[in-house]
Amino acid sequence: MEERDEMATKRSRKGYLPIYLMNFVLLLTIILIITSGRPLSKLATGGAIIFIISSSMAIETHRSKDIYRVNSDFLIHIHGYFAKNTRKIPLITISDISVEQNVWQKLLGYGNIIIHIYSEGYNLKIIHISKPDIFGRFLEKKVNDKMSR
Amino acid sequence: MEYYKPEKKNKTKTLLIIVAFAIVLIPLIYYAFVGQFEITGGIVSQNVERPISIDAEIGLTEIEIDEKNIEARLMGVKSTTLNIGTQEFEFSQEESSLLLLESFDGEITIEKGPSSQIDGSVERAIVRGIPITNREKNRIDITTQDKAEYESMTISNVTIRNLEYETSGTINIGEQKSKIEIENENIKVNEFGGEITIQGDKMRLKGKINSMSIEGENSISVA
Repeated sequence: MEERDEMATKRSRKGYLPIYLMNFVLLLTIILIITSGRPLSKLATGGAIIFIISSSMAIETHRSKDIYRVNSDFLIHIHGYFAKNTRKIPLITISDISVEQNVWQKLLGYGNIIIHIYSEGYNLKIIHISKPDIFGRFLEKKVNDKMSR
Repeated sequence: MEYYKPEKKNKTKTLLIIVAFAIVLIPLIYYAFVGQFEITGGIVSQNVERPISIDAEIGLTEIEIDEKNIEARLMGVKSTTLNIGTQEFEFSQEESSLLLLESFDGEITIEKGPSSQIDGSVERAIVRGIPITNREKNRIDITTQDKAEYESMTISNVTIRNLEYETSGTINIGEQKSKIEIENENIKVNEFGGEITIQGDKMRLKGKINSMSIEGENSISVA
């Protein structure tokens, strides 16, 4: 099996499930009102459509705010909406990696990774990423490979 | 060197999203199940002051009514074809029937004759004493194929923003019922709310107005 040199991750859409549920409820309400022959308020329907579109756009924009990339030497954190700040964390400074998932996150397949960094004395938390165990294992392998060189 | 701080949960953002969702969902459900709340039309007419009572019997003119939740009672309906839902009801020349429209939403055009074009929907229509509703939906569509002819029509709970034309008749104004007789004079009524009765070539306006002016031999302004 070909080994990957690099892996990238960002926030999973599953972390925005409550907002997707709200959009679904709004759409379903509109459909039910139309099919039941009840009067549909144009103003409220317009508001619902604006809410659905703007929340969907906001989710995609928010997801792109933090991107994490692991290569052979660094954990790279690219942060920002339009102006991007890039921070490179050397893998040799990473002391510990833990994966955090509550019941719902476990069911849906997303979660958080907590990275303990020696020199800074604090933890870096990568939140709501898809398949955090896979990303965590990859990062761990890269850290071990770096340490053993 | 930049220090990364763990992202704090933004409770304000969460609250704003929930409030925005509620602001959209609640009016959707309210309007569908309870009633109207149109921000412009409803609030404007509710906020409009109508401090002056009026009971006027004046000549009939052409009026277009576009309203929600009004009741129209037509007596002596004849020479009319009415579509209610998918059913067609014909009223012959010799007929003189009663037509009652309950909770009507739509347009009623009043013309001399008297006759009217009706286009909208009702919660219930009573035709020749028989109530007609839509079992599946809350409302049933109603339209006249041409014009409905009748002897008299009473429309309750109606609003007319501006009514201006030349006419003759008797106008009783205010609680003291001050009587004004007009003869081919220009009348302008602003923000009428109440009941309109049409019979023959006469129209009776009974309700409240915001202001009224008469221009003719004697200029009168009531506000």
